[in-house]
Amino acid sequence: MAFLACKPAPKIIDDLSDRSFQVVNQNAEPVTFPDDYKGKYVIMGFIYTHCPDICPLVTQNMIKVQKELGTPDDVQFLGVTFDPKRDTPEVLKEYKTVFELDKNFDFLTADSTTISAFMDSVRVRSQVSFSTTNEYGEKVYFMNHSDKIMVLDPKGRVIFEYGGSMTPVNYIVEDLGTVRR
Amino acid sequence: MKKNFFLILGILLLTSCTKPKKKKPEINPENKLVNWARPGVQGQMSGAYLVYRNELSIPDTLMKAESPQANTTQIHESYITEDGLAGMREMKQIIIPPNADLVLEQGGLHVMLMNLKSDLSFDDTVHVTLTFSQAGEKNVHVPVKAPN
Ligand SMILES: [Cu+2]
Repeated sequence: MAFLACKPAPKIIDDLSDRSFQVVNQNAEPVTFPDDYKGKYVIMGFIYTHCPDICPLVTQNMIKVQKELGTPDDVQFLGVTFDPKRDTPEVLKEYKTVFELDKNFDFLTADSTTISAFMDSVRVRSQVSFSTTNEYGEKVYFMNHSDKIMVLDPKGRVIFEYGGSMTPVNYIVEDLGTVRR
Repeated sequence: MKKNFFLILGILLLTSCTKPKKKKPEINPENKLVNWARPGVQGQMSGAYLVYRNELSIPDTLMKAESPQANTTQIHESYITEDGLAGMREMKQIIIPPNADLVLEQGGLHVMLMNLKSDLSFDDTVHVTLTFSQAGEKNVHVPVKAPN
């Protein structure tokens, strides 16, 4: 199997393999991240569903990568919210439906404490930028946030990182092609 | 209402009609320019995207956007904050040179529809009235579509 060694080992940006975050997916099923996805490549973007412009681009880029790859079983796609207060599993399920997503594409949320630890571990920042009040007197807020998509190897290590909304999808597909076999 | 006095006179994505269409480099080239709006849920928000051509021989200025389907309608720009985060901000005025296109597309400008009065579902139509200093009011109708 010496020929496999020809592919240069990617630089490890971050090792998340020893982390263990208890989160839930859009079906409210418990997920342990990253353990439950070990053995697969993970392409992960960070979103909040009240985001009207940039976050959908992040999601769309991940969808394009998945299509480009032919929806393979060994590549898992994840959208993780940094707005757990509003992004409940039900809301994420609706979001997934709007994007007409199928298998190997999950959206994750958790309690606020877990999400902030999660976001710290992947170096994603977010903060409330401004808010308006809707007709029910409820505050609707928007957020400034890191714009990021990352790739994890099957061992739970971050090997690539991109600007989430702006990166042409072929960059991600090509990078993945250099390590995936 | 001049509290957030951004008053950014954006010179944005201006394409002269004599030149070939130029790409705004930071925008993913795979996102096509079309008129459309995102689906949205009552009380939440949507974004509408469109292209408007200033056919006048003088510059024009987009002053405001309105829609009967939202409680608040604004022109927004997605931008990168000083500390490198993605955010959006209101644009009070946008100048469009003569014979140039004002392009509202993902990752750049959008008509921000806030606090929707009812759900926006596929095949619904969003009505937007744009008010220009020269051309006056222009009504635009955009279909609600899945992104891309
Ligand atoms: Cu906006």
